[in-house]
Amino acid sequence: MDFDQQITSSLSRRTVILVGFLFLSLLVIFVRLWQLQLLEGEYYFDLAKNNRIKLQEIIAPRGIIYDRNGQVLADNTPSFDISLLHEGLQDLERIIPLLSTILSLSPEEIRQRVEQTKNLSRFKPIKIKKDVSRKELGLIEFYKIDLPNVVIEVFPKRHYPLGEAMCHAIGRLGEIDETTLKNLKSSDYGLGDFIGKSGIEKAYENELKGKPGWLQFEVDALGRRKRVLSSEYPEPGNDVYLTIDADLQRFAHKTLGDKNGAVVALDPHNGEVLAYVSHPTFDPNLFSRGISSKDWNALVHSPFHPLTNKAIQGTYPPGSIFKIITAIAGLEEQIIDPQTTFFCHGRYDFINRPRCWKRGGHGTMDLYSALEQSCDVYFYSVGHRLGVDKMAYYASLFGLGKETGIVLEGEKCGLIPTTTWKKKVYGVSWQQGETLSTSIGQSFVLCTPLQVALMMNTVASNGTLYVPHLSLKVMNRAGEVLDITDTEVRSITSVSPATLAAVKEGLWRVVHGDRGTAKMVRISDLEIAGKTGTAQVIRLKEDKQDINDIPYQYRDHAWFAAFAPFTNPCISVAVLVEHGGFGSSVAGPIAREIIDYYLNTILPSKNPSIPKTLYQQSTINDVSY
Amino acid sequence: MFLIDRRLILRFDWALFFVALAIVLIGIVNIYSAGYSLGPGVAMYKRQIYWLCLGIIFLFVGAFLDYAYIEQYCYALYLLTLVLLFYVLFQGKLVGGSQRWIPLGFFNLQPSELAKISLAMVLAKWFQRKYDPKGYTIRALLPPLALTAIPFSLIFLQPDLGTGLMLLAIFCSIVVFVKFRLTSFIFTLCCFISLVPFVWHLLKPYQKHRILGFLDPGLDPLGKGYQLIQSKIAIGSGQLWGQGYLKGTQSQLDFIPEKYTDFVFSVFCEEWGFLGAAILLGLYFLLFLRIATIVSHARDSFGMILGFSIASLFLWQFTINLGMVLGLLPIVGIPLPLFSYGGSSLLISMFSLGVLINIHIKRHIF
Repeated sequence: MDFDQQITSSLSRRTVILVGFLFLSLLVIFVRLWQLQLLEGEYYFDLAKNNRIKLQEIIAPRGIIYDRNGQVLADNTPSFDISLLHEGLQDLERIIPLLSTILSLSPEEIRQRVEQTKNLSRFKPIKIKKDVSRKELGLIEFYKIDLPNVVIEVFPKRHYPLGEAMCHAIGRLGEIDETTLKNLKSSDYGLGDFIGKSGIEKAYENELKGKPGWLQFEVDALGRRKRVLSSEYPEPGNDVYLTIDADLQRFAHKTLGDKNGAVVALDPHNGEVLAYVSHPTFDPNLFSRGISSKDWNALVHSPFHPLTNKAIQGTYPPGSIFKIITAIAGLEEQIIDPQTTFFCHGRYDFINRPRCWKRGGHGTMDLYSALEQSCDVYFYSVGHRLGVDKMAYYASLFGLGKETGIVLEGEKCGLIPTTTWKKKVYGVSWQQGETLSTSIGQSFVLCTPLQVALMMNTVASNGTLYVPHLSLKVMNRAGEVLDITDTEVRSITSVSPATLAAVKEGLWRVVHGDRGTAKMVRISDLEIAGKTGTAQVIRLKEDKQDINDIPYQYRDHAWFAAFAPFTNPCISVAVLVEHGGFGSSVAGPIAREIIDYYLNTILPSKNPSIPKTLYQQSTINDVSY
Repeated sequence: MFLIDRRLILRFDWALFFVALAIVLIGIVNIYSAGYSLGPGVAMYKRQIYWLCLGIIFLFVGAFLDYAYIEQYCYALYLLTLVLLFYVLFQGKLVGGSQRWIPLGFFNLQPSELAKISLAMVLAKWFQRKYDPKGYTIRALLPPLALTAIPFSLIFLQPDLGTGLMLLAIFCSIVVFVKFRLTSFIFTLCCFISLVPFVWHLLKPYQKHRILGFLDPGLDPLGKGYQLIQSKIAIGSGQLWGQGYLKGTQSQLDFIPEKYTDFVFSVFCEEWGFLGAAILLGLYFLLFLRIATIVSHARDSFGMILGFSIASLFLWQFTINLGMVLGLLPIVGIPLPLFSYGGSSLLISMFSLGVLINIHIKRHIF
């Protein structure tokens, strides 16, 4: 045996190391495979499925809101976001200069946005700018080659063609927040979805929202979409038709102009809301993709509170308009008849001798002339004999002191005082002097513009108190009518036709009488009945004849409420101008314009077959009392 | 130079040859699936077939070339390897942040693959010459350590930690095989442990990430640990029967990283399941048993030491690759011999098997 063979024979035994290692290695590998594939196999199988299958929600197109004639009040338009795919992160610094120029964002802002969202999901693009303008979109498209992995995402955006002219009634959208999301029963919402926050958008949220669809697709490791596995199309929301007449709405908005206040127009036949304006306004389009904090602060910190819906949330003393209630109560309780007269010498001789607005006095007044000239002393006399509780009862028959029941949220109920109310709230008993001021719509009386419109509407409809409603019908996209909003009658008053006829004639004289307080409202060929009102904000020590001498916030609120045509009324309107001064000079012409436009332009154009004169017929002589 | 003889054909180890061939063919079928999603234009499996054809020639060259020539020329081959490694370090093709390839037009030569086999050869020669039955001391081991350290450093600088570690593994294996003194062993171990922080400092960030990612894959599921998690998901989702050929979503949708080379076994496990994996591992088991038999029956000491170093090279690559795709070892770029896509690796593997068959044949001659 030579040396080499000695080596081989001793080493040969050591090849066992190799075999030993082989067995050990295979044993460990098999145990591991058994663990991964057999013990935990199902777990990894699920992981593999989750790896490749992604679910994407498809937002349902929100229902469209139309006016009564099918004009669009709210629809959806595409909005474009600029985003960056995750693959593009390493090139970010290279494209930042170009991006920041196009999107007018500072490089720092872009970096910040990327930092904030890049860890959310590997597959969701990183949003750089929301809702870009057409110009920005065009530039991004133009420089596409220089902006690798920059993508344009499309989202539906709520669009309100009337903008500020139609804001409080239609409301606005807002991003759903976490607390709201928790309280919602529906699983159709997710964080970041938009939901109706006010107005019709909120009231009809369930109809408008539709049902989101989804797309299940397979992605590869880079998140690229490979194929669609299954999908469900979204169900578009239902369309809502409003009672609003878009033309009248736009006109009313324009006519009120920049005066703060509210305009409400109702249809006396059924309580449909024809126009609904509250000023100052806001642009609901600002909220459609999330409002910027700058715009939001401007709205919230404005001293005139544009977000407040004054037509239902603002409460004001009705002033002389309340005399309608005092008159009806007096007639019904037989304290007066239309011919009963009182003498006005400028003051009412009781307690602190309250004055009539006309210093020199009106002389002998019957019901008609008292309404025509709005004589305070006459109504002090009536109210004094009635007592406050009687007046409150008749006020309630005409819808005052209670929510009107309109679908909009946040409605105030106003206030009609009674003796028990005063005792309860203030702990002291009712004062006689307060009865006097109540009878002319001062003291504690508070009404919303909608309530005043509804009261006038109830007079126009001969005592039928409707619930004012905003929606006509709900239709689905296929054109099937799902729901028709029925005219809802809250009550039919027990007030006698003769009483109403007498009051109505008084209201006719307000416009058409020789000494009517609203003579300037007169339009040739059209008979309007109405009532002015001037609501004192504070009692001024001395008489100031020139309104410009009084600071804005102390000026009286101006009211005018009217209906027309006198027979067969087709529209009733209430106009409130905050701090507008004397009712007839400020609020009156606005109401006149709206009535004129509605009766002489809108209605004839809609029903050309009906002769124009129908809306203008003068049949005052037929009224019996 | 070539010993062609009727007896040679008869003594040729057909078992080893066919087992290896079976593994390569299954590998090609698997590579076809891994590249399936890329469309017919990218036909990696076709190129692997060319390598196989070329590899069979290499195998026969290895088998019929008298390994006395290997003994004679191994230092020359070793020097050539060093030259190529130097060249690749300065002129090589940059892929994924490291320089590993020499573009040769039709294929990219990977000198680090060549380094494995040439190191195995020179070490075998050195230990056969300086054989010490009492075991080696550290001082005695300095020359072979230097032989290992030079290519190791060059490969480490590319940087390719995995292949570098393979060279160290070959060296250690041979040392253990030829007997190492216990005192020296303990001393070396202590040195090695004290070196770890230093080596850690030298590692490139991506190498550190790999090791950290291995220690805690959940640390950063989109970054460091991503490869490992995806590999485990692929293997696990295969369950018993597999997802079916060409139907593994993890591989078809590119969730598996390096799916042609390092993670090719994950692709196979996903589509063929535990049963497929068991069959493949069974083939490897047969292959290694056959290799161990050949080594233990080698006729001379050079053949035995060379056979052992080649065997250990195969076994280490096999173990480290599977350990890493199964999440048992850190992810270092080591392909699965015979099964992964790659020309250099396959050709060298086939040639090495040829050398083993050569050792087997030699036993029966003279």
